[in-house]
Amino acid sequence: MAKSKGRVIVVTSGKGGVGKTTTTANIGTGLARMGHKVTLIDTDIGLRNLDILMGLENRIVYNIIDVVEERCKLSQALVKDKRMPNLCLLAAAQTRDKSALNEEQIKKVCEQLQEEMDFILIDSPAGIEQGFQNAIAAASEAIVVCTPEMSAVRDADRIIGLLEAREEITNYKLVLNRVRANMIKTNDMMDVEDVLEILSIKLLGVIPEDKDIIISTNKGEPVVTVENSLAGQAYRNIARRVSGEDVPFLNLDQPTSWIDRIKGLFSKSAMA
Amino acid sequence: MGWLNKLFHLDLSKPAEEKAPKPINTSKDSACNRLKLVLMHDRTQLSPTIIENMRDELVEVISKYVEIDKTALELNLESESNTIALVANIPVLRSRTTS
Repeated sequence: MAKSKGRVIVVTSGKGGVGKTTTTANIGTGLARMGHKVTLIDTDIGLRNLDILMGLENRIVYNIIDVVEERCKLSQALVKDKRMPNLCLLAAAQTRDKSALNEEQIKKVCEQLQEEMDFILIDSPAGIEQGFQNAIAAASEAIVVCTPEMSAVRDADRIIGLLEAREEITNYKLVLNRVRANMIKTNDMMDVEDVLEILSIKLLGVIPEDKDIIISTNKGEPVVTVENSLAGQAYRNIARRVSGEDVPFLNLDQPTSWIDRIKGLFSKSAMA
Repeated sequence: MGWLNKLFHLDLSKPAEEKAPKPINTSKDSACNRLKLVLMHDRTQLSPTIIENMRDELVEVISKYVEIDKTALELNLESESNTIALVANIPVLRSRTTS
């Protein structure tokens, strides 16, 4: 039986520093752990970082610009993950800028990858200029990453407007990152429902603010591989939802004592 | 509706003591309210200055026909589910034609 074409999903946000690259690395790794064939593409030309988060920075020989400028074959530029043979990375060029890539070139690369892969995840650069246009050019689905902060939500709203205007994008959902259950409790942070209502978007998942993310980034091992981490669990759930499973949202407000646990039974709590 | 009034500084016309006691406003509430307002302006590409200009012109046109309370005239952007509306509230004092 012929394999159906791989899904091309862009991970984008508008605002920088909200967790696009972390989300790309973790959802991609999560999907690969489930057995899917996955390629991650870093389109942040000149400011590449996905290689670092994947712990693959020392293995990059060729990058996406080498591929489109035909200095190497696509297969030569795909860097295999350390742990999983069904996961690979197509790195961005570090010494060039956004103008080195255009929409047609990235579409061509993705079309080739779709034959082999189940999922192609594209890590978009911040902003709404050429780099962003390149990143969404080949995608038919989008994951919008946002944090519960005003500036991030405002920029996400702009991005959602641009995604809506694009016929090729048939499905987009929100990942709300860096959520602090304790601040939501004291009404000092917008909660998940607030952000969903303001952006009128469907939820893909919620990631708690978690020191495990910093630790795992330091090690070059996505947090999705850390079994007892809450953020890791949240990303594993998101990967399952992306692959089509119906997974209930996590309780981010993890009770610490037995009294809290009992209280938890009677209160509506933050969800992931 | 405090955030709508803020747009036109309507609160500023009243001395502080006259204002109704405010409900406790959490930082989350102000984030939500400020965001909703800024997004309505972003989405419609209507800045507060443009709305102010519209308001002034409306006053001029309507005043030709009816005497209105210019200070109480409100023109605001309001959003409901997915639609944004321009809502005007224009208190009429008396008709010019009857005089």
